[in-house]
Parts: sequence; structure tokens; C-alpha cells
Amino acid sequence: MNPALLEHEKQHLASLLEAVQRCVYFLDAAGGSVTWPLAAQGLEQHKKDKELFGALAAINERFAKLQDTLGAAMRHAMGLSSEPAETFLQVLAFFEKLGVIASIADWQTCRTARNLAAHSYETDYESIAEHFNTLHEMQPVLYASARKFVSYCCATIGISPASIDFADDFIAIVGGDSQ
Amino acid sequence: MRLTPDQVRIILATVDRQIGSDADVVLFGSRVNDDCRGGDIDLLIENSTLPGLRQRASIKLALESALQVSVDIVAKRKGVTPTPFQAIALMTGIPLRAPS
Repeated sequence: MNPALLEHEKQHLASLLEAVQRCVYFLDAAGGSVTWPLAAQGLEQHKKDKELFGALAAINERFAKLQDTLGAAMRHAMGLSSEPAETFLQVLAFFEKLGVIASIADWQTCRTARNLAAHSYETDYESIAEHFNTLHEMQPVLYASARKFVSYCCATIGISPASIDFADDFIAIVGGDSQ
Repeated sequence: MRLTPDQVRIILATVDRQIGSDADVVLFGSRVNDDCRGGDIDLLIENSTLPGLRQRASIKLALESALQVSVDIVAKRKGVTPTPFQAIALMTGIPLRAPS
């Protein structure tokens, strides 16, 4: 690969890693303002609570953003590792083998679960509560993948997040010693 | 309805595996109309406990993989008044399981 292009590719991965850390930070912040687990009755009683429903909307968006950003970064990292990755399934298989993601099935269930709720348009507080409680339960799985992936990039391909702006918060949230 | 017996068997077996054989499964949407062509498979799954998000996601993934067609799932708890959308699905849909 052309050295200048390679440098851009590395910088892009570094910026994706920073974006992953940023997503974790803001997802955690959104979830931190909610009392878990949610109950249908509580949601109905607070149906006009702008702060609560604003936080829930943010969780939805940031959960998806974190998983998508992590997916994009994993695909990019594979390219930099000169590993063949024609399909995203191959990317998932590669990182499953390394233990970065728990399993392909878990990853796909996470993705499908969050998309299912995005296509539900009715106000059914029991379903809303169940949806957000499930996303909240799935959060540690994504956090663990984020932590292991950042560690993998630092240790194996020598690329760290583009800045240290979110590094300490990221470690505090996901645990471990990722940069 | 536009589902083959094999497709019905796969749908019911998948729901049985994820939720249990007590769950009612209703096909609704364009697939109940014999004059249409193609289209997603819309299913309403009704159970004594509300089918969870993870269960629905697993069913959707398994069915889309087995049937190679997009599948949408609406979940409802038995005994709870249906939302207007669920009521439409129940009124216009076709139960896939023979009444016990």
C-alpha cells in the first residue's frame, strides 16, 4: 500500500477508536440518568417527562451508534491487518475467534433487537420498558467488545485512539487498561 | 394465504423453540392476500408472557436465515387489550396454529 494512503488508513482507524470511546461515554451518560429497571407503570406515570424520554431516545441512538461505529472500526482494522474481509460476516468471525466479540449470534441479536424497536410506532409502555431494559442488559456486552477491540488495536496493530480526550472516562466505564 | 406448508412448519418450530408451543402465531399483512406477490412476512406472536426483545430478535434472525425473506414481528401478551395495530393484525390475520 502507498505509504501516504496507509498513514491515512491508520489515522482513520485512530479516529474510529476515539469515536468508539466517545459513544461509550455518551451512552453511559444517557443510561446514568435513568433508574433501572424501567416499569410500564412508571413510564406511563411519567409520560410527559421530557428528560426521561429524552434520555431514552438518546440511549436508542447511542446504542446503535456504538455498535455501528465498532463494526466500522473492526472492518477497517481487518483491512490494516491484511486479513481478507469481503463480507461483514467474515469480520465478525475474525473478531469472534479473537474473543473481541462474544459470538456472532450475540452481535446479530444485539443489532436486530435495537432495530426491532426502531420499527415499533405504537405507544405501549410495557413494550417500551422491556425494550430499554433489554438494551440496558446488553450494554455490558458491547462495552466488553469495545474494550477488547481498543486493546487489540493498540497491542496488535499499534494504533491508539486519535486523542486521549475520552480515554480515562472510557476505562472508568468499561474497565481494564485500554488506551 | 401465501405461505407454503414448509414455511409454516419452520415458523412454528422456530417460535416453539424460542418461546414455547403455547404461543399463538398469526400471519397478517400482505401475505394473507392471495392476489399480492412477494412481500415481508408479518407475524403477531401472542403469549402469556410478553415475548422479549431478544426472543423476537432471535426469531427474526432465524426465520430470515431459513426463509430468505424479511420478517417483521409484533409481540402481544395474552389477556391484554390489543393496541389498535394489534387489533387490526388479529382481525385480518390468519392463525398459523390449529386451535387446541
